[in-house]
Amino acid sequence: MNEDLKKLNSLHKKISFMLSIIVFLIYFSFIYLVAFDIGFLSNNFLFNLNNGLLCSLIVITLCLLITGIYVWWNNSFYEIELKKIKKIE
Amino acid sequence: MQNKFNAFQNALALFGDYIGAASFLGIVGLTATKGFDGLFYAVGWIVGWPIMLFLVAEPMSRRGVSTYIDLIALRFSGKDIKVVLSLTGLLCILIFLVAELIGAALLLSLVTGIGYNLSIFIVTFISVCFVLLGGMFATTWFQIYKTVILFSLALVILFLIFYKMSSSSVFFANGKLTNLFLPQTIFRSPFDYFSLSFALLFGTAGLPNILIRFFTVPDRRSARISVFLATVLISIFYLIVFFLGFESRFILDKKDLSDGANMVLLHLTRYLGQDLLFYVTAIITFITIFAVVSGLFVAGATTLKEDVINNKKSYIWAFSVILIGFFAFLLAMIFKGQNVAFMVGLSYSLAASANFPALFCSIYLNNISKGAVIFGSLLGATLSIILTVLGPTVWVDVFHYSTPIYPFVDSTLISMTASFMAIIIISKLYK
Repeated sequence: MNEDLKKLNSLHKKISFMLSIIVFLIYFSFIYLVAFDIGFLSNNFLFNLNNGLLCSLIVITLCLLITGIYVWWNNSFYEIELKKIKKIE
Repeated sequence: MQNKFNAFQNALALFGDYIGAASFLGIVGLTATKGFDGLFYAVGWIVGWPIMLFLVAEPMSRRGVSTYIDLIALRFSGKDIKVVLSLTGLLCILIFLVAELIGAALLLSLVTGIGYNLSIFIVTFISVCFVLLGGMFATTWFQIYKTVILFSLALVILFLIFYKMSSSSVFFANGKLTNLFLPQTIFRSPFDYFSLSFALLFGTAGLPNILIRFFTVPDRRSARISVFLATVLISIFYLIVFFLGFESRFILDKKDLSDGANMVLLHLTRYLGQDLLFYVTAIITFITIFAVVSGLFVAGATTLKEDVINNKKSYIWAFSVILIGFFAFLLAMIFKGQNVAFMVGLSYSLAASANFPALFCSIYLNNISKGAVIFGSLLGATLSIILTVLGPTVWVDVFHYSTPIYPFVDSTLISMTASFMAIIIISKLYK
């Protein structure tokens, strides 16, 4: 296997893992609140909308954002680098 | 080419594969009866998607395989590992199938008034016939149309809710959302929440029937975009569904919330739009369930035929379908009265314990042995099944003992860790 390709793939792996860990952390901080601090989530932040709804929305939005970043990075950087390497070969 | 689609069409099809009875009926029911638990499942199912894309789908497409059994077969040769992983995958599919069948049967008995046992038989019989006669009923185009119809239905119901009530009573009336988090009866401890979130997070990656659709687009670039679009669609849909369930808490009186609360949505539609909306919703839900069910039957029977029995004769296919139908029927009788979202949660737990560790280790770890993967996968599956049987779901609800032997509802945290540990330690010991 070509050296550049190896480097690119290991970078790809690193980014996949890093983003997975971020998703994991976000999700489990939410679960931590659910499991141990349900009282906080029951409080209202605005009118009758409570913190639980707000937190769920934040978790979902952040996950979508991270997926978006991953897809954008892959499609606009990784694939292009991959093509360059394949052309050289 | 008939089987190449653009990213948006593929996203709609992914959505169609994913959203079955569990998501639609189950989450409405859970939210209506248990408040926050419905949202908890929804968030877990959404978060499972990026994990699946980052950790599993990408390496699979890079190696050019479309099922995780093929991926593991690339790494390890031999029939034994294929058979073991196919069987654990089949078990997940079976439990998923049972959840969908329970939803369909309850719907049938609600609409026609016949008993639950008879309707479970009719539903299983019809779907087996469907699959045997029509083969791949759930084609991509069908899934795309179905998604559009289902999404429109959810929006119509949502609109009717806003129309029927003034906006002030929806959001700002006193005491409505404040008690949203208070009743929690499915889960008795923080352990269950953590354990189930592991199941939801990693189960998506381990379920064999979801990943296949990733590979029906021309290239990886549009495959990624379609997964992203599907996640967006699913998030919006789950939020709508959660809102519907939340509203049905206040619209319906409590007697409608029995039977695992799977039919709350139907009662809500009857309240909102009389019989017309009720029957339209019933029909659309039936179609949704049958599409998911036939997809599951096809995936299961194909695995059974090609990887386990390994016989090319065509009657083996029919035999596999009937066999799966038979077991699904038996299990659906046993799990009568459970919420379908909860049932699907069980199948995720099994997938996260039996399939995900094997899959993850064969993709990312270098020095592991075949025997260790087989053992770890079997250990995860066995532990997950035994602990579920000893837990409250089966020991108390089905066998009617007063106290469960294993106190928690979910076991993923134990069985998944055990499976990972087994694979790594055994590989280290026997090189």
